[in-house]
Amino acid sequence: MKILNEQQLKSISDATFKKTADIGLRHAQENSIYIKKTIRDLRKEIVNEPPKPVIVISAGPSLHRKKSIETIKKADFKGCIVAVDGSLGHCLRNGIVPDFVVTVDPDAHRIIRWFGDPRLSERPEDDYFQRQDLDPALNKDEVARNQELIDMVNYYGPQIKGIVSTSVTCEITQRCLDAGMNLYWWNPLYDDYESKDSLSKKLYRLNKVPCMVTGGNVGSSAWVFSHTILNAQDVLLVGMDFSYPPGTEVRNTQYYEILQELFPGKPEKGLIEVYNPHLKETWVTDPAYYWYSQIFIEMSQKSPCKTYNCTEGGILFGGNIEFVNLKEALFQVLQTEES
Amino acid sequence: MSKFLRGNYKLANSEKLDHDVKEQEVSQIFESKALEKLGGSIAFVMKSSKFLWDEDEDSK
Repeated sequence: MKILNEQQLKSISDATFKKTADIGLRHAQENSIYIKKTIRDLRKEIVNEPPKPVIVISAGPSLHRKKSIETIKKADFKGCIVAVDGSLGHCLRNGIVPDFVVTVDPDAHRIIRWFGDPRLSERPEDDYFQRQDLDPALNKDEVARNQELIDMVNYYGPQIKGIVSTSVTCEITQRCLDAGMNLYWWNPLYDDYESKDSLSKKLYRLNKVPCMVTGGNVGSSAWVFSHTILNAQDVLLVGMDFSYPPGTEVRNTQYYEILQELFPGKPEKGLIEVYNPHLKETWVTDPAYYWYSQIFIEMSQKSPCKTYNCTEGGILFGGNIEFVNLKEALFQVLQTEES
Repeated sequence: MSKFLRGNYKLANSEKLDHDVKEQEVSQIFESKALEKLGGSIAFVMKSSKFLWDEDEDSK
C-alpha cells in the first residue's frame, strides 16, 4: 500500500470514531459509579510543584530492541515516568515502577491483559498475545506470565496512579482498583464540543470529567497528559515506533487478522513502507499506525512542550519533534534541570 | 464505405481503458472499505491548539 493521502487519513479517522464512540460512551456510563477524582484534581494537587521532565514509555518494539529501560535506570533521572498500559509489565519486570499508567482503548478482552487478567481462562480464543511485539514476554507461557503480571501489578499498584479514560471496560477499572491504584479519570475528546449534538459535550455534562485530546492511541494520550496535566516542558518518548522493524513478518503486526481477510493470501499488501532518514532504514507500518504518526506530528506543532523522540526506531519524525538518541536527550534534559 | 467503418467495432485501446477505469474504481472502493476496518484505538479530534476541554473550569 502507498503512503496514505489526506482523504484516506480522514477515512481512518471517521472509521475510528464509528468504532469507538458508542462503546466508549457506554463504558463511560458504566464507569460513572467509580469516578471519584479526575485529571482536573491531579492538576490542582501538583499546581505548586515545579514542572518536571517526563519520560513516556510506550510499548513499541524498540523498547525491547534498544533496552531503553536499562538506559533510563542508569541515568540519574528525577522526573516523572508515564507508562502506557502495554508497557506496564515490561517496566515492572525490569525494575521501573512508573508514577502513572495511562489506559484508553475500549476493547473488551485484550487490554486487561496488560494489567494481568484474572479471568484469562474465560476469554475467547485469541492468539494475539503470542504474535504481538508490544510485550514479547507474553508470547510464551501465557498462563504463567499472566499470573506473574497479576502479582507484580498487585504488589506495585499502590505506588502507581492510574490515568484512566472513561472509555475502558469496568473490568479494567475494577482490576486497577483491586491492585490498589489511585485513579484519575478523563474523557477522550470524541468530537467538536461546539458542534450541535456533540457526543463529547453530552458525555462531559453526564460525568463532569475533563475531555482530553487522544492522538488516536494510548501512547499519544500519555504524551498529551504529560504536557497538559503534568505541565512538563520536556517530554522524552521511548517505544513510540508506530511501526515494525525492517524484516518483520506480517503475521506479527497488529492488524494481521484484518489484513488477511482483506488481502487473502497476500496480507503484506496492506502494509506501508516508510523510510526514516535519521536511521537510514525503511520501516513498515499499517494504516492506523501511519495515521497515529501523522496526527502526532500535527499535534507536536501545537504543543508548548519540547518533544524528544528517543525511541531510536520507527517512523515518528518531523514537526516539532527532535529525533534523538535516549542517552543524549537524558544528558540534555539533566543539564537543563541543573542550570 | 464509411457506413461500414462507423461504429461496428471497438478499438482495443478503449476496451483496455474502460477495464483500467473499472479496476481503479474497484480498487478505490476496496481501499476505502479496508481503511474502515483498520481504525485506531480511540477517536481523535483537535480544535485549534486546545488539548483539554473542561467546560466548567474554562468558563471560570
